Amino acid sequence: MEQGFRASMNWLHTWSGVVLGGLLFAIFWMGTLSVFDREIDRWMAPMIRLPAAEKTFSLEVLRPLYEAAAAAKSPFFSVGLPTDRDAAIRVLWREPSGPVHRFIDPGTGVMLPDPGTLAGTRFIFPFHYMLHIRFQDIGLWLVGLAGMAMMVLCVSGVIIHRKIFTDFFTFRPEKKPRRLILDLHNVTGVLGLPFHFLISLSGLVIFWATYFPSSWQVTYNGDRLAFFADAYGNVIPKGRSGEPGGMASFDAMAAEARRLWDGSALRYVFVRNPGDAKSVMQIGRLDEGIVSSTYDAAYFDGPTGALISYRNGTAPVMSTQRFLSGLHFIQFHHWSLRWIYFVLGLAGCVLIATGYLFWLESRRKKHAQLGLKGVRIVEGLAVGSVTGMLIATGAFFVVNRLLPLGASAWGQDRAALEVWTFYLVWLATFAQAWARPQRAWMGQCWTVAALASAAVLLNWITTGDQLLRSLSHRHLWPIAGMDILLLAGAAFAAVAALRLSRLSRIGRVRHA
Amino acid sequence: MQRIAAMKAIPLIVRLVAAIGGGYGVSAGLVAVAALALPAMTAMPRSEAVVLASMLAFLVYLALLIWAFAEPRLTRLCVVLVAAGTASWGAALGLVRLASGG
Amino acid sequence: MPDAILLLAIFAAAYLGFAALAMSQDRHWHHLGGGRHCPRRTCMVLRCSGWALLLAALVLALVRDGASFGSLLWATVITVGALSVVATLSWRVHWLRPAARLLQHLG
Repeated sequence: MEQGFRASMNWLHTWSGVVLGGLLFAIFWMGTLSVFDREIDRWMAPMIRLPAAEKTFSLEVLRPLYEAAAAAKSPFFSVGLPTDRDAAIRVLWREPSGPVHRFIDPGTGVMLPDPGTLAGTRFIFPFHYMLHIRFQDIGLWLVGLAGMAMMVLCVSGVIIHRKIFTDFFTFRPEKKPRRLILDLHNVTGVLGLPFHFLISLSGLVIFWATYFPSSWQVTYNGDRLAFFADAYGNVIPKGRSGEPGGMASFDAMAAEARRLWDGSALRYVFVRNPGDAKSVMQIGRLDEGIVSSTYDAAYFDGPTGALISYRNGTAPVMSTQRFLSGLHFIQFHHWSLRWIYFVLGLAGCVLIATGYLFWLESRRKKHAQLGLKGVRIVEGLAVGSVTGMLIATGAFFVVNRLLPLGASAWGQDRAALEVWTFYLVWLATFAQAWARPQRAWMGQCWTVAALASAAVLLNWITTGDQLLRSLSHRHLWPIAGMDILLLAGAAFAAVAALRLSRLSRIGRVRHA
Repeated sequence: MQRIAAMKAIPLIVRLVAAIGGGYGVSAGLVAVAALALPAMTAMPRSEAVVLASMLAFLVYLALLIWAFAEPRLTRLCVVLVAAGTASWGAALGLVRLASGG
Repeated sequence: MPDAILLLAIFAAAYLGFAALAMSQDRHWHHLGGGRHCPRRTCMVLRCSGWALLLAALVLALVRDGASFGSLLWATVITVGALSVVATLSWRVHWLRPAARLLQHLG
């Protein structure tokens, strides 16, 4: 039975890994980048490379935009306030033509030009949790499936690992590729296990209400809003009144909210039904000093500015949920943890990539002898999902620096063109990998190196923020960080490509 | 390894559906029962019970997924999942009716 | 500044802790120039000090960042520490040789 159990876990580990590995790599890679989503925003939208915001600025600078949102009958008016990582105010509302996203310089109150990019927070981060497939929440469910699969892979991986303690620290770079790959897979898997398991579980727990709707459906008669009102104290107006209504002083309401939370800073301002007599203003608390991602919010009646209700602290179970969410979202102020998350996220990417490589290396000969196509198909899938994903990301950065502001083509605006580039390049990497599998890994590694260095060079040419300059200005450190990581990535990809070309030369000599 | 590697297509599909779909169905049913029963049996507020049940459900689903692939007898797997699913959903719907004063 | 020093200390404790645990394993003991098997007494000393160092890292992390950030920091830093030990054993094994030699003399 013991043998049978281990064998079935081996089967489960192998096939769930091969089938979902591509999806998992995409999610892990985008999640790793999302650790620095706001820094990527600064890199991709140079107009927000601003010095840190003045501590006090009047929220009334938002009034003209609020009026615009009210005139457009936008269902909401959303404002992200500056933080340590984000110097600009972010404003979002919906026009009949689509969502409008703008940055405001809090120092001057000036609205900055349309960035023309979805950048980190609006492309990379949503890709991480819903793959940009909005239809019927399919993207969210696919990511949920992948998250469950990651936990299954963690558990089954531990069960099938025969010498988990003896091999705890074992990595033998001098061994044959197959052994080396397995060592690397085992080491990143076993040592990274606590992080990978916790990050998958906490990612799922964030969306518990979507993944297990039966819980609130049976208890609140299927009324989602009733549940949220009960659990989070949300105040949501039921529809518009149709009567126009004013909006009380933003600053007075913000001051009241700060007073309720003992002077705590604010994270966001969110107005429902702007311009309507039944508008509700929600102000959220910023607490960067705790792990939990708080739900603390104060609600004001828009036209009068009177406090409706507010929330301070959560019940025990909900606090656990907020803690798990918070440790996944890392919106707190802790740079060491942020960097460690990035490193461990990369370790997760290595884990998934080496899993693919091990599958391929252990079957390559046998499949060639038997004339099976499996290796070729999976190799294309692996190349496209691993190096292809890196190339697509690189192309996304490069095209961002090449397109002028306000560019448009084929009826697509600049932000859409960047996204199209990402997907088309990604598709092309799969096509190349299936068409020419022998050279795909090496060729794509060179492409990664070229794109990453080109991105750094283009950033210098188009913005003048070269490494020395960005390192010497505090507010440009995010740019320096991104440039350094791009250069490191380029060097790493180049070394990998050189190794691969040496291996293939040795291989050819042996065959000759 | 041989036993499972040699799995035929149809039993494999049945197992996949039972594990992913059936396992989810049973977890969701248990969540519903727990969310209804916890506030009735303990002093836990309703919204708290909902969140607690849902968070634990991920671990229940994980255990069911592992077991669904470890269980050698496919019939037993299906019977247990169907029985657990019927029992949990039946209990949940019964509790809902009870609560609404039926 | 003390924050940075404490962080370094946490990492150092995690790294040394895992290095000690690695050395107590026959494979790495042999690789580091020891005999086929790690002597029982040395092995015990290494294991105890390894665990003690990991515990010390936890205490330092809790002191630095409090309960929630501290435990999170510890859980993630020790993974980075363990990965660094693996890297050392693979590419810079001579860094750990003097420690192993010293232990052999003492043992």
